[in-house]
Amino acid sequence: MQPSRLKASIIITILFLWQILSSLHIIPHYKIPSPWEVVLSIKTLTTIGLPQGYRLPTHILESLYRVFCGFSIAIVIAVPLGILMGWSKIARETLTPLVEIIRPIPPLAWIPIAIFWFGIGIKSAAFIIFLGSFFPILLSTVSGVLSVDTILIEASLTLGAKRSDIYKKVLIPGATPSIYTGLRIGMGIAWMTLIAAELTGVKSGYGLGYMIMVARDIQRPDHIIAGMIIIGVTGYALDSCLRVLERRVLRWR
Amino acid sequence: MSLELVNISKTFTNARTKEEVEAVRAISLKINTGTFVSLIGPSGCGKTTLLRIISGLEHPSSGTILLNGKEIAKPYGQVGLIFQEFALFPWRTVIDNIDFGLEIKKIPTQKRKELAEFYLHKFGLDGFANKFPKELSGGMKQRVAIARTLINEPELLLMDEPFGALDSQTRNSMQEFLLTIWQETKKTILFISHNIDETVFLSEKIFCLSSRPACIKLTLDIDLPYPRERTSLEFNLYRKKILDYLAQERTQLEG
Repeated sequence: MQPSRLKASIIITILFLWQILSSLHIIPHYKIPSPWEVVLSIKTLTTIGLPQGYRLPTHILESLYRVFCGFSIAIVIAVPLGILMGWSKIARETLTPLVEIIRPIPPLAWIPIAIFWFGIGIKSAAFIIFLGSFFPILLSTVSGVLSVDTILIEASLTLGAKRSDIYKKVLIPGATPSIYTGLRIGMGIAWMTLIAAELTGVKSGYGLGYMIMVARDIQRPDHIIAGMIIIGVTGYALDSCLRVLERRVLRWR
Repeated sequence: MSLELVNISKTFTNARTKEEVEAVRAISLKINTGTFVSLIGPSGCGKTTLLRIISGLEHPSSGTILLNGKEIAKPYGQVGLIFQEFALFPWRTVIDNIDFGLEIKKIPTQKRKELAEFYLHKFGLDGFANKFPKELSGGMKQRVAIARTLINEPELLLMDEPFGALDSQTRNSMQEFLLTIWQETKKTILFISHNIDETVFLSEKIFCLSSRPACIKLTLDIDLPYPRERTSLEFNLYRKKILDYLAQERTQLEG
C-alpha cells in the first residue's frame, strides 16, 4: 500500500472507531464529543465564531501573524549570529555560556516580564515566540557552519575569496541544510509556544489558544477539541510548507 | 611563473599535547616557468604539506618561497590548487562552480558565463552546465575543478594527487587530458602523486622525497618526448629507478 494511502487509512480507521464508540455511548459524549459533533463545531466556529463574532479563520490568521512576527525576528538575529559563532572561535567561546544560561528558561516563563516590558498585545506575543524559535535556529546554524568541510573553505581561499565571500558564498550555503532543520524545529516550538502563550493570557481577543480558553469557560468540549484539531492541522501545514521550501532549496543534495 | 623554495621547513605542534611533528625539512628546489614537475614520495611524507605551504594555506616554519623571484605570503588567485577530493561546491551547479573565481572578482554575469561556457565546452562538459556535482562522475568532477581553477588564469598550478580518487582508466584519460591542457596553456605545474607510472608519463622532472620529515633525496630529469609510450623500454627504465628508490626508502624506514 502506498504510504499516503496508509497514512489516510489509519486516520480514517481511528475516526471511524471513535464515531462508533461515541454513537454507542461507550465514550461519554459530554466529555468526548464524537467526530461528527466536532465537524459541526468547526462549522459553527467558522460561521458564528467564538466568542460570537470572532470567527475561526480570523483566529487562525491572528495566531499565524503572531508566529510569523516572532519567527522572522528570530531568523534575522539567529542566523547571522550563528554564522559568526560558527566561524569565530572567540565569538563562540564568549557567547556560548550566555546562550546556555538563557536557553533553558522556558519561553512561557518570560511571559510576566514580557507583559511588563511590552504590555499585552502583539509585541509581547512576538517576543515569546521569538525566544522559543531563536535557540534551535541559532544552534543549528552554528552546527551547520562548523560542519562545512574545511576543504571547501580552502578551495575558496585559493580561488581568491575574501572573508565576506567565504561568509556569503561558502558558509551560508554550506550551513543551509542544518539551518533548515533548525527552522523546522524552531517553527514547531514557535507554534506550540504561541498557543500556550495565548492560553495563559497574552491575548487580544483573537487567537486559537484564546478561542480554546473561551470554549472551556462556556463548557463546550466540542469547540475545544475542534480548536485543538485546527491547531494540529495548522501546525502540520506550517511544517509542510517548510519542508517543500527545504526540498526546493536543497535540490543539490 | 617560476617557483623557488629556499630551505623550507615545517614543524606542526599539537596545541593540546605540545607534541611536535616535523613534516618538512630544509627543502630547496627550483622550477622554471612552464615546466611540468612532479613530487613523489612515500605516504605521509609531507608532500601535501609542502603544496599547502606553496599555495599559502600554511606558513612555513622557516625558509622562503619565491614566485617569479618575489615573496608572496598569500598568493591566492595566482597559484591554483587542485585537491584529490575535488572540493567542488555541492550547492552550486557546474557552471556556477566554474565561474566562482570570476564571481568573486565581480566580473559581470554575461562575461562570466561566456567564459565559463568556453571552459565547459573545452573540457568536454557540454550539457552539464546546470547539473549539480552529485550528478557527475569522478573524472567529470575533477575536470570541473580544473576548469574552475584555470579560469582564474593562475600562473602556477599545484595538483595534490588529483587523480587519486579515480579508477585507472579514467585516470589514464585524465592524464592525457592534463597534458593537452598543459601544452596549450604553458602553465607551470607542480604535481604530487603516489603513482610512479603517472609521474613518469606526465613530468619533465621528478623530485623524489624521503619519508617524513620530507627532504629531496633524488631528482630525475625525464628526457622523453611527448606523448610518452607507457610500455616503452625507456619509460620503464625511469620507472625502475623510482621503484628502486622507493623500495630503498621503505627498507630504511623499516630497518
